[in-house]
Amino acid sequence: MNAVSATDGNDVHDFPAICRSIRKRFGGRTVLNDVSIAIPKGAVFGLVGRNGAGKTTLMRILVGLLMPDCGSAIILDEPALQMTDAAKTRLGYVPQSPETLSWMTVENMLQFVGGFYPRWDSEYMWNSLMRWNITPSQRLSKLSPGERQRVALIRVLATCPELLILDEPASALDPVARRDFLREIALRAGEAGMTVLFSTHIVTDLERVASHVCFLHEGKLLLNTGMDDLKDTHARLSLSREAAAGLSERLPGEIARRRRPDGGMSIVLTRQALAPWPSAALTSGATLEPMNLEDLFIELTDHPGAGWFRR
Amino acid sequence: MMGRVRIAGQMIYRTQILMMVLVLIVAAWMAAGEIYEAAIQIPGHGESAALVLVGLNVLCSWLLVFNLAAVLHDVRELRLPQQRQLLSVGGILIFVFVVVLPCALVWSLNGAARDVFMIAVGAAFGSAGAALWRRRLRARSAPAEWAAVAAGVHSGQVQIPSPWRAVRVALGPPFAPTSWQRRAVQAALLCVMIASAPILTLLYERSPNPPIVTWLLYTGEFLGFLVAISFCWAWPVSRLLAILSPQSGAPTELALLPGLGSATQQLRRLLLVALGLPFAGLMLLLVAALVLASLQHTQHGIYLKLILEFLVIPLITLPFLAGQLNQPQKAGAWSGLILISSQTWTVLVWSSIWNLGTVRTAAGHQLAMLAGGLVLIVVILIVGFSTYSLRKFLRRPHPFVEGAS
Repeated sequence: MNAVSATDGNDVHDFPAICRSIRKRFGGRTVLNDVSIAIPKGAVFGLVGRNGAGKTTLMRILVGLLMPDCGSAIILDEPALQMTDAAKTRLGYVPQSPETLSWMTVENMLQFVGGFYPRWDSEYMWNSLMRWNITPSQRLSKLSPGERQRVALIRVLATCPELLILDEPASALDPVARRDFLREIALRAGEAGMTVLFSTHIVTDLERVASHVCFLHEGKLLLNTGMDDLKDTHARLSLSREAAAGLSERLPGEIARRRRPDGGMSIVLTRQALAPWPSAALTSGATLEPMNLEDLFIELTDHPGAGWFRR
Repeated sequence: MMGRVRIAGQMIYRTQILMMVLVLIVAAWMAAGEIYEAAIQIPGHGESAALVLVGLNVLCSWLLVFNLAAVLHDVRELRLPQQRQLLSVGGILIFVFVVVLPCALVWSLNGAARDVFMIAVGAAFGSAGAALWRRRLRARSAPAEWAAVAAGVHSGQVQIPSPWRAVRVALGPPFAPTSWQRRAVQAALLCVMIASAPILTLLYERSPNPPIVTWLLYTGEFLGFLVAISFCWAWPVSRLLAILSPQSGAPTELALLPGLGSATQQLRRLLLVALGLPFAGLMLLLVAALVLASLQHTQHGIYLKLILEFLVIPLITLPFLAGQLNQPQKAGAWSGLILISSQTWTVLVWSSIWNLGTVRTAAGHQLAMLAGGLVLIVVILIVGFSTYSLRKFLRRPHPFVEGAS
């Protein structure tokens, strides 16, 4: 599913975050190259990519903290660079390393920030502090990175946002806290209809909560699809050495190809929903197997120029 | 229960230390009195002996007040009866040991009234220092207490902060709102830093002192100003640089907080808050320096030099600031550099090396013209770079949004 085409024929209001043909360069390096995404309302949208793929840059452009060289970002029906206060109260953003107001105590910072948000949930704030065992009188600068990340998550969730953008929110959390946080996200998205965009390296987290997934690699979008469709539309075709020898042409729907050490070949295929797989998948010596998200991510991104077939 | 036992044990221990301090103070004063009595007989050395006594009294009062305050704190923790009486006795004890007895000793040794006054002032400085130190230790052990006051928020009640307050809180200390007591302490500290060395200089510079004392007095005066400049200018400016550094999340926070107004309003607020305090501090220091120069009856040229010196400080800082606004980088090293570079001219200003009016020879004139030309080039470069950075910064749609490449 192409991101921009997602909005075609639909009401733009159904997409709280849209970016169109975003291009961004830092120095001589292109960090984002013609990236377009539309995030549907109520979706939990996972953005996956290797280090330096451009995830943080994309998120900063989306929330209006970075000016793109080309293209535009729309957030909650407003241009990201000219967001009004009304939109800001509905938006929550947690950066990768939250370092804000570190001279204050946890309690003071949360109370101070809460003053700006009309829907601030103090009860949630106190319950979360207690649940995550964070001392309210502790100064933020004295907290561990994990604790700081928890405080940042409490801070953003207590504002009851309609759109939540999280830049690697679980990277410093321990497994228990991570599971707790993911449960909270799933609950908020399910019950309150909150839209979530989060970036992560931990693909298993995505499988647990995400409704949509998007792979970003070297500034380009490699994949943008719903999680439910993923297993139906993507598969790995393993070919024996004999079967691989007779295959020189590119298969229909082929998005990546790798030669195995035994001479065989591994090909990642995609298809439209309910469309048949290519005939090569039915020949002898060929095995078609479903792929999980992690396998797909590795297949698509772990070699230089990954995804060029798709273009 | 265990906590009270621990505090009781601590109090007994501290009381013993206090007793030892008292004994040491008495012994030290007796020895110092002997030295003072002998020194005032020698012409030109009485002031040095008085300075030693003042230093001793600062130390003694510091030790006494610090330890007594610790004991009184334990008394309060233990909720012992008759706390008020104990507090009164403690206060009287301090007054007797650090003011009455030393002054009486100097007076009985036919010391000058000026020395008696300075010893009393020394006691005040020592006591204030000890009280501040105690306060700092307590704030460290209970950070919430201080920060709650600083933020102006208390649990249970959420205030709607004004946009000005938000900027001040984002900048952190010394901009952040704080209690008037803390502000008073900071102001007192600043006054002590600026005034202590000049007062001593004014009192003793005309006496026939050994050169080392005169040198120490002038060095103290210079260092006092250096510390005051770092307190009034470098600290606030480094805070501004720190929040604009890539590690800081403050710009992100300010950009996304609702209710802070338009981009132009935010920029105006940030610059007014962040630069208002250091500029006010610098002006205060300039006035203090001019008053000091006037009181010391220095040559008239010094006024112009002083004003130039105080112009140089922001002029040198400006390109760093503009560069940081435009392209935030790690700020840690810059703050130190700003302080150092802003002071490179100080020696030239105070000394007579840079006195163009006294240049008589042709070579001297040429050298002066060359130096003037170089200074002009540096100023043009500084202003040019700053203008370029500021123009680039002002082209952004929002002060906290990074521009297009």
